Amino acid sequence: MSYFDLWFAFLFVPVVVLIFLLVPKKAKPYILLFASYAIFFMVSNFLIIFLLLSTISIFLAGKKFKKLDGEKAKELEKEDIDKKLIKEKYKKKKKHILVLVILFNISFLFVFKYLKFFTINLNAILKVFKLEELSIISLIAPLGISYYTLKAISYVVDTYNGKIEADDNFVRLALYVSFFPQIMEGPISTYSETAEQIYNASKVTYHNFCYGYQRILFGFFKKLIIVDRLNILVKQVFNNYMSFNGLSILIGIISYTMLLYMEFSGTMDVVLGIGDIFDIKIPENFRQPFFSKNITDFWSRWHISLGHFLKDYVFYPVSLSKPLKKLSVSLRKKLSAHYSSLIAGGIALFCVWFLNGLWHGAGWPFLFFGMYHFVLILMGNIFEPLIIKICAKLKINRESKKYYGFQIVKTSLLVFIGEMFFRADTVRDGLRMLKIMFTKMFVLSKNEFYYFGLDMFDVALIFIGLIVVLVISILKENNVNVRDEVEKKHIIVRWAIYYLLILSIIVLGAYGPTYAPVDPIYADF
Amino acid sequence: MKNLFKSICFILIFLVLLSVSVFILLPKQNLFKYSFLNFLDYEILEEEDNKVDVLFVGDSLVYNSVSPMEIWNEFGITSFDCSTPAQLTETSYEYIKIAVERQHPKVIFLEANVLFRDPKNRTSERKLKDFYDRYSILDDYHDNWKDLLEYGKPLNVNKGYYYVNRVNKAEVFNYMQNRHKSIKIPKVNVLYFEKILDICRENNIKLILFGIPSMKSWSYEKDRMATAFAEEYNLEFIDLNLVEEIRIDWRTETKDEGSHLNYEGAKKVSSYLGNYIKQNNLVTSHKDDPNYDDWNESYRKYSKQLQFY
Repeated sequence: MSYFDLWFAFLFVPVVVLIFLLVPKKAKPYILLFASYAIFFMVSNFLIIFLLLSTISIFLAGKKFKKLDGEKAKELEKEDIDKKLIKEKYKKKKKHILVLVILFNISFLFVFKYLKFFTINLNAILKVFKLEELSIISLIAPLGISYYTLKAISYVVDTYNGKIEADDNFVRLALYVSFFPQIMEGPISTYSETAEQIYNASKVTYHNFCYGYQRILFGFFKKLIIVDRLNILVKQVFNNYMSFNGLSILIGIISYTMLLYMEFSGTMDVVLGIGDIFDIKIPENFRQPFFSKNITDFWSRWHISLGHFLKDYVFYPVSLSKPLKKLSVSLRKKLSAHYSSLIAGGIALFCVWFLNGLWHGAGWPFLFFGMYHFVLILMGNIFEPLIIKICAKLKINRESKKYYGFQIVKTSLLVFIGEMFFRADTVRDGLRMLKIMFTKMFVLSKNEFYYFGLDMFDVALIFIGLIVVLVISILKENNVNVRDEVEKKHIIVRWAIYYLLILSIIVLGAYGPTYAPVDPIYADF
Repeated sequence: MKNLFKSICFILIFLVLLSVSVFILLPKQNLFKYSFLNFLDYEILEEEDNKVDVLFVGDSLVYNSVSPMEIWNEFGITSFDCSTPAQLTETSYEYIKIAVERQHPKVIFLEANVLFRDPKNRTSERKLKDFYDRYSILDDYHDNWKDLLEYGKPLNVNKGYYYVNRVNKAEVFNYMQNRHKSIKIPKVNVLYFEKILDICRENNIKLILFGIPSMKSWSYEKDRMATAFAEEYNLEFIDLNLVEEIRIDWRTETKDEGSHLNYEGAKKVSSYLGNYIKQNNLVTSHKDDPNYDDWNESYRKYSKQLQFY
């Protein structure tokens, strides 16, 4: 299933909206929950049990935290007691529950996503020692397990820390975990960001309905005009990279990065568009990533919700952990403040990027992808003082537009190379492609361009599509909301834009017998 | 109320614009001579009149296995796949009836598998698919904007063939051994078959029955029954499942685990059929006839498609 399935966007969603409008306010959350579970059941059948188990586990954990907090407060009210000891006792109890629930949820993720990868690699080790190898089991994972598991963890950690109060309402929590537009590809919103909004959604106005569908249609535009066309080129280059020169491979990896961006951000347009219909502000997952100054900046603009999750639930807890604090203190005695914090921060950063790679998939190319970004960010941090000095000496204005342009090109190139490893079948394939780019950049063979698999009309449409997205991105970067701007126009202009958008998707879209649509890429993660 | 009025207006204007777009994209040949839905149902109506010499009639096995453009390129024979998904004998008859109004085919190859399909067993899922196929006009025609820009008119490049070069290998087994399955040709199919026979006699068309390679849709029992059926009506029957020259490699030449052939399989079947027509002098070649330049144009685009997708 994909959010770009016509039946989903233009039948399922309107039917849910209609029923939602017809039922009394009290029943509305139940309708949304039913719709969410229906979608889940349709794709994953009885694997829905794992979604329910996750939800129940965090619901019970939250309740237990609440109960323990109450008991703790009561005990603290008593006189002649060692308050520190009591606090310690309850903290320990809560921590045990926290660890247990996190492990419980992660274990499903491990079994469904990583068991095969783990067994293959374990077998490689067993083979070295000539021991009996284990049989490899591949399982079909429940829909969106990588997304809802992280949501569940964020909820349980936030309630543990007292950042949010545990929810007594199971429906609200279940809805937060499984809300149908978010279940497949996120964003991984926190409980405080969306739970109340979804549960309290009560109306669908004419304005919101149109406003939401405008964004959904833009998502379809990205998918059908750009993604499914670029797919032809990308497949050609990545599947036969040995017969292309460096320039063609560069075009291939740029195209793949664009494909990935358009596919994922287009899906987010559909997701956030559905949110808009119900007046639910689902947090943005992209913020014009190709205007980034450096890799750190890029990751604050690309798949934002995953970055937030890893920062809040991995980076900070690791950096603030006792062993790392101790290390930081002892390093400070020997090194400068900059380098001591770099080393301590580097360890936390390593954990973030190791998990980022692993989250994207069980495979060495994904781990390599994570490590690649770890190294880039670490290098950026190490060399930043040096770069500032060099720029000052050469009198380069780091605030100038030219320098910003240079930064954008540099960052984009690094991102393209990262995505090349992400898409390559093996790390070795990625390295070979890199080698071709460095050694045979302009060596022309008869395969170049012609065999990209696109005709001139397809190429022209890709360019037009990309320009449209670029213009909208520039406007967004300058805080101009295109939908709001269009709304201010005269009805004739406004409707003309809508008709143009819809008809261009219908007529120029890459669908039908001659095209193979891209499967939702991020739904597999 | 104001919003309701606006919504209705928006949808109405949209429908008008959509209809205009569809009209622009549709081939105009015969468009006004038939009802719109008939025109959409019978793809052969897009062809110029009296240019197609051979019809291949049948279900999805036909449009996945016989590529008229391959036959054109190799033998200069003009042919067309008059095939629809899960075609019933009744539909074969309807299709042929319409086709001979615009074309004067010399030969019709009727796929024997349609004779075994019982209309009573039509599932609701199949009916839903039929409905979708009938009304999903844009799936097939929306890409015609490229032809309009390049040639000034839509070109029917595939002539009814459905090009797929994907491989989804089959678990190979000997499907042509006797498994003592009980099958029959429903009476209603015999009735429509006889009507087809009548049309062929009236129009002096040679009717040939043929079976297309399929591990999942064909069997020894079907071969036996179709052979007996053809003998009864004094017709030729060619079972391509048994032809040594074709010999499908089910690991590489099927798109869906043995149900249908992919392009590689279709090339073999098309070449065999073209050669069969040529060897038996059933029709003449138009390869060098300037009146058939549009077929060469279609072939150029067809071969481009083979490189692209």
